[in-house]
Amino acid sequence: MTAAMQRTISIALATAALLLGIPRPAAAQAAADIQQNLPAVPDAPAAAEIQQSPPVVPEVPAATNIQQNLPVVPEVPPAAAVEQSHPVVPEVPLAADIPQNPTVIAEAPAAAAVQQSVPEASTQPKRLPLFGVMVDVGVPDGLIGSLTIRPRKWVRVSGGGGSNGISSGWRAGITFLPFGAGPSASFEYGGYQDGDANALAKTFGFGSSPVLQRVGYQYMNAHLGLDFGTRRFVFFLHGGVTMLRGQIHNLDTLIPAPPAGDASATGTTEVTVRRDPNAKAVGPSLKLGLIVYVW
Amino acid sequence: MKLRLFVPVLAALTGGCSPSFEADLPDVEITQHGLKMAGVPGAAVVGDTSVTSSFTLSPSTWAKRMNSEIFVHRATITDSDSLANLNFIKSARVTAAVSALSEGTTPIMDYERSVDAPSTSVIAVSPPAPIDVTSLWSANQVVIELQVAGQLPEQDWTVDLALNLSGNITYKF
Repeated sequence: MTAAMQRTISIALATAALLLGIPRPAAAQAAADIQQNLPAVPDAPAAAEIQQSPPVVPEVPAATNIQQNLPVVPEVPPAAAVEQSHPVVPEVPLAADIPQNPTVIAEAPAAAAVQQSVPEASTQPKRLPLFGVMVDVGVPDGLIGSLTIRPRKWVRVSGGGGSNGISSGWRAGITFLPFGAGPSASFEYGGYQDGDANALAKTFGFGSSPVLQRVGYQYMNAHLGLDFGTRRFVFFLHGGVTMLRGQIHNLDTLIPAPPAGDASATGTTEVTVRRDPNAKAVGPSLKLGLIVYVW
Repeated sequence: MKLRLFVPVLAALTGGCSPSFEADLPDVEITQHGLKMAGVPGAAVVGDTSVTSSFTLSPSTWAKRMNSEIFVHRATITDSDSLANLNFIKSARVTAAVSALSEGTTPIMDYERSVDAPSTSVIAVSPPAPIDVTSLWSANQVVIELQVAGQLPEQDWTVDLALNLSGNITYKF
């Protein structure tokens, strides 16, 4: 058996061993031992690195290809010596061949790096979606659609607009969730423009009144609540206290004129509200809503 | 577990907050139009005399139920007749009482015309501090009395008396 035939067989064995998955320590040790016997092969350490990275396996050149490259590697030791020390040394031809295949050398570390990074990425917590849309309905908020930003797991801010059935309005707020989900505390401020509330009053069975022709208010909510869900979908139920401010218009139409005794002697009485009263109301409030985080 | 904790807290928060309503009334004007003042025959001969006229107000029932604070901060007498002016009024006084028989009256307006005062058909007086008429407001009827003195017209004449009120009302359910 010629030396060339021995090298060919060794290369084939090495390739087969790699494909079958020889344990790394044995392969590495074999490569190291062979490297000691191959002083003329300066790139032998690369073989050890490549063998330690399984992803390189598919890229190992086939035995025929390696055989084609063999004439370029004159420093390979005699096959007899290799067989005495490590009968199944698979890496010797590969070590000789690697320098002539720079692509494999360049890709090997990258493949190893990818293989090592995959488990690290899977252990990192997934980033919560930052932006979302929110819709909620309640009193005195009405129906509000908002954009929501969640810069941290425990806080979100929102701003949007909607309707209370009388006019259009706006609202901005901040919600704290100390545990990311579950109990929450919200503080909101909003307002509605003046609008005719007579239609809404009729809907609920009340009569019309000039006082209801212009109804608008600003309000502040201080709510406690529960938020269900954390990532994409959050459903919440909030309740608490609301302070509402507004002006009462056309109040003088509601105040009856004080009756006078003898109109011919004492004249007639007229009541005029020269400046609209400022009204403030405090009461319970409640709302429920849904958030869909989209990005 | 969270629900069991949340429901009582929310119920306490919303239930413990009894609804309340509060309104500030910065300026409400009650005007008595055409308040008749009796003429003084031979006033030019008699000289200065005084006449009194009164009218009754019945504060609204709904307003009395509220915990209100009512103040008078201005009283105005305006000529509503064909008088050229009100320069003949040398002094005027407006008082309020719970009823006509009540001895205790609350002065609302005291006016003294100065010698060099310009000619005017409107007499407006604002007290140094708003006058609290809350107790009067809670009564069923309030009698407002206007007394004027001076060289008065011989024929009956009328004025408009306006009281500007301010205050606040509160109501807790």
